[in-house]
Amino acid sequence: MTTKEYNNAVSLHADHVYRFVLKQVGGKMLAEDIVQETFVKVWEKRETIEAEKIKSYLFTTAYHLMINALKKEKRWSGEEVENTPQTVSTSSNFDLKEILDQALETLPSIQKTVVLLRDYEGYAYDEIGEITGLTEAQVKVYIFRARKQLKTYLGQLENVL
Amino acid sequence: MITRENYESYYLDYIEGNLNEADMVQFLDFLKTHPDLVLADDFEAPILQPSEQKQAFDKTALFQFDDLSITPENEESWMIANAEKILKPAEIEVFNEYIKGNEMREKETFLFTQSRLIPEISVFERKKELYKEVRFIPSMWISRAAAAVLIGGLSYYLYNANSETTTVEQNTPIAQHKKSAVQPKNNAVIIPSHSEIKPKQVLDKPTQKVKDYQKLDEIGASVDTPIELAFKRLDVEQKGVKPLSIQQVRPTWDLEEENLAQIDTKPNMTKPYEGIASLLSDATGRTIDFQRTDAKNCEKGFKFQVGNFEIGRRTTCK
Repeated sequence: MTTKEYNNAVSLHADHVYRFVLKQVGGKMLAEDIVQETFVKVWEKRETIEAEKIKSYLFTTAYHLMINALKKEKRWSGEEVENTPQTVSTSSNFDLKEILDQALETLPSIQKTVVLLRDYEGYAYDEIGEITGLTEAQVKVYIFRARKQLKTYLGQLENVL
Repeated sequence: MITRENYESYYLDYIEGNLNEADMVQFLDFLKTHPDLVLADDFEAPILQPSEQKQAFDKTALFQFDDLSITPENEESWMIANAEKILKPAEIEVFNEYIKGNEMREKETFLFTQSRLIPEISVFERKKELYKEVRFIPSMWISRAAAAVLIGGLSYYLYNANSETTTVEQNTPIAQHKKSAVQPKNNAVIIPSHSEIKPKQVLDKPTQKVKDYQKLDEIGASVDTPIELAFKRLDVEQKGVKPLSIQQVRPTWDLEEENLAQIDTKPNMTKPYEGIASLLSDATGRTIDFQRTDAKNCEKGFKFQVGNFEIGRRTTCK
């Protein structure tokens, strides 16, 4: 990968990687640091990275850095179902996106990751598997569970309203 | 070692038939000792025999539908697959027909569709820190191009100018002085028209111009930066003519103080320098100002300008 291709990747993907990380770590500063470190690592290994695979490489690197950071803070729940109370909070202004953000927070970390990669970045199941180190079947199962959880949350909201 | 943390991957491999015999035995033993996992929501049937398990497991959790039959047991998987937009046209048709007219199914389908996250715009504000500098300095390349064209053009001019030298009888003093070094044809030698002008510096090898070019590169000069020395002289004495000397390329303010070029021949300064000016203009993308100076005190010459530079030549009449 040339310097020009690297810079092009910064222009194309930095915002997306940042969004992906920010959604999961919550804090802006931590998310920025992870993105920064992600691109540093990519730059250091640019000689071995093909330009066509740079996006996947960026997300994979960011994902692993994010897991490490969250594990240090004991905030990575992995595959375990969180015992977060699934209460629905409503505001006076109904905003589907806001509600979905709340629902997203109720998902186990790994489910949140695969859903974000699926819905935000449009990755296929096998591509999500490559990034997260899961099998395609595992990705499907996590997507399946996440959809059920999100739908249940939305259903509760509808009942409240 | 199968644990509660990693059993799911074994489970998936198991239902896909990817476990070897040893792992399968180990996995089944694990499930027997952890019956609560078998009853988890997404893993429906207890696993006792591999053949039975494969039949009992609802593969629709993996969005694998053996046929187009939708039942209350698998309708949720269809709804999710619909929300995931992975149903084939024929499946969509069957699915729409299945939920049509059933308020509950339509509502569930709608909620699953709504469960797709809405991408938001996030801007990474420290993006500028990520960019890496491309090692390409335009001014350096312009100067290289300009220098190359300049040297080439001047060489071309000097070559042409030499062919227009004056011939005189062999017994002139200067010719005699040169006789030992030059053996002219047709009983004549080529001499300069004003041999009293001596070049300030004579270079031993024509390859010096290459060194000068490299030197120009090293100092990173551009057409906007004064260059003290870019091209000194082309000694063509070996060809049997009095040296033509382009002495120095200097900043503009030095132009009037000394001859920038001295030539011992009758010059034809029209076409060659226009060619040089044109080439330099193409190479630098700049307007090249070419001027001819009128005879003054029996001197005539020219100069042309590239950015802050001027290169010129002046000849003195005899």
